[in-house]
Amino acid sequence: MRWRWILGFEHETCRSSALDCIYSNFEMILASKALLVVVLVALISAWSGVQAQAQNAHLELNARRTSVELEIVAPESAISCKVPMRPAKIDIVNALNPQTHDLSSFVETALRKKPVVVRRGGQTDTEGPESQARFASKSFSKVQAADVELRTVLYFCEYLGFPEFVGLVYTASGEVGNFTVHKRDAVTSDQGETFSLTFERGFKWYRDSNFGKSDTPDTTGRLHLSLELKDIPFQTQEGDGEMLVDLTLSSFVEFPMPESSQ
Amino acid sequence: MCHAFFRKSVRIFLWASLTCSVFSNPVAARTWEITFLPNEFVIAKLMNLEPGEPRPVCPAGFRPMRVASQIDLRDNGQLTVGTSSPEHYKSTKTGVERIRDNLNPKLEFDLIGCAFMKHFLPQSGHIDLSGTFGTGEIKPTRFHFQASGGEKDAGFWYRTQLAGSLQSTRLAWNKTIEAPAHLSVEKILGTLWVYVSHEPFAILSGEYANDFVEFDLDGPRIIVVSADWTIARFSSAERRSGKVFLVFRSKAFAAVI
Repeated sequence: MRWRWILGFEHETCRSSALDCIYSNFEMILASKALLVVVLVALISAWSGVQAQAQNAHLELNARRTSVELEIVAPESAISCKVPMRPAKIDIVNALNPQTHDLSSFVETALRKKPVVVRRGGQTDTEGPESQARFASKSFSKVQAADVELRTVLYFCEYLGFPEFVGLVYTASGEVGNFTVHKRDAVTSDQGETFSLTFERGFKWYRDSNFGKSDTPDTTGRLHLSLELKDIPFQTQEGDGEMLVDLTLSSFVEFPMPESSQ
Repeated sequence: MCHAFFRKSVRIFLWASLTCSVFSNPVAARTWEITFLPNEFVIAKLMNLEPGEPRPVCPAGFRPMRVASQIDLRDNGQLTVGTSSPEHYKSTKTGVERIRDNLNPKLEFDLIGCAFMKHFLPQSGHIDLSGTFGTGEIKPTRFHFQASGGEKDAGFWYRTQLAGSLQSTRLAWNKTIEAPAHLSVEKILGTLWVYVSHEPFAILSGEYANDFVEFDLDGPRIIVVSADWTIARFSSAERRSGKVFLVFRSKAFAAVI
């Protein structure tokens, strides 16, 4: 009886159910704000614990600021832009780092079902259906190495270094624990609710440092991409199991802009 | 010898204490610190310039345009009053409370820049500050902004929303502001951040006439929307019907590239 322990209740109903216990002692809870906070925190953590079981595993890729090129691509490619804009792309690669991510869900689910031999009354039951039981196929203490990479290619129409978004293609590939992933898909601007892409042209200043001085606009373009990818399938290497993973990418990239845009 | 040295050191001590008392005199100017944290986004339209108005020099293909709005800081967010003057003077303490009870700075900004597609390059503008301040007033004061060169004490920072939804903006560890739900993602061109210098300014009237005020306007966040959808050289519909859009719509695109 966890609630009873936390609140120190002696009430009768506390023995039957934790919720009854809370209701019947509601006045007492109100009397002490601190206890109420403890109960709320416990309730929320218990609730979120239940939720977590039903949800997908979650991976976050937070990339540091990286420098890239706004690469002008050949006009005969899949993107067409109106003159004077030119088709361009930016290639971002983010890797999953096992040091900064909790990969425990890739261990637990590595427990696999294996066929077992069932004996009944000392006899091997050869006629009956094959039985199964959950056993750890390998002993994973911790996922030490993850080799998962998310490659995002952003496609733009570009003019003087100013981009207009056309679409993006992502590829998630690699191995983590007992799982492999290979997923490739496109995201377009009409799927706006799952991502955000912003651009700003940098100035060589930050807040107060520039007041009263003349500052020259610098020729750096800065993009911030945040992308939520739901239900990315990670398959067990034996190919008999699947885990769905939600990937979140937060990436901040800089690229040099042509001088003429000043 | 020793006696002379003693007399000299006494004189130094007297001078030092006199100087100290002069500088810590409660009559000396106080500095009020006004901090602002917005509760919500302000929405401002990107508009065409009036005929005959001076136009900035824009890169080829960019159009000179304007963003302007008026913001009552009291209604738009959370204002706090502090002071860097010594707290133990009673006048300072009661002064803070009096100002807190009656503080309504108004910001009016007018910004001219160059627009292309959803992009906007702030070129020149100003922020006018006025409103009530305790028992006094903020003398209407203009803060100037120039993108290139010149003295300035106001700033504008624009971020283009290339695609997707506007993310909630984190202003402090416990404070974020969300984009208004009624605003369609398509209409949002970008966000504009407005701020004035941290330098203390003597812009007050009444009993605060000798005082300084230090603004930490961190700062109203403005969603810039298009007045109409024609600021872009190519309309949204045009892009949608184009080849580009169709290619991307098909899931097969991933395989093509």
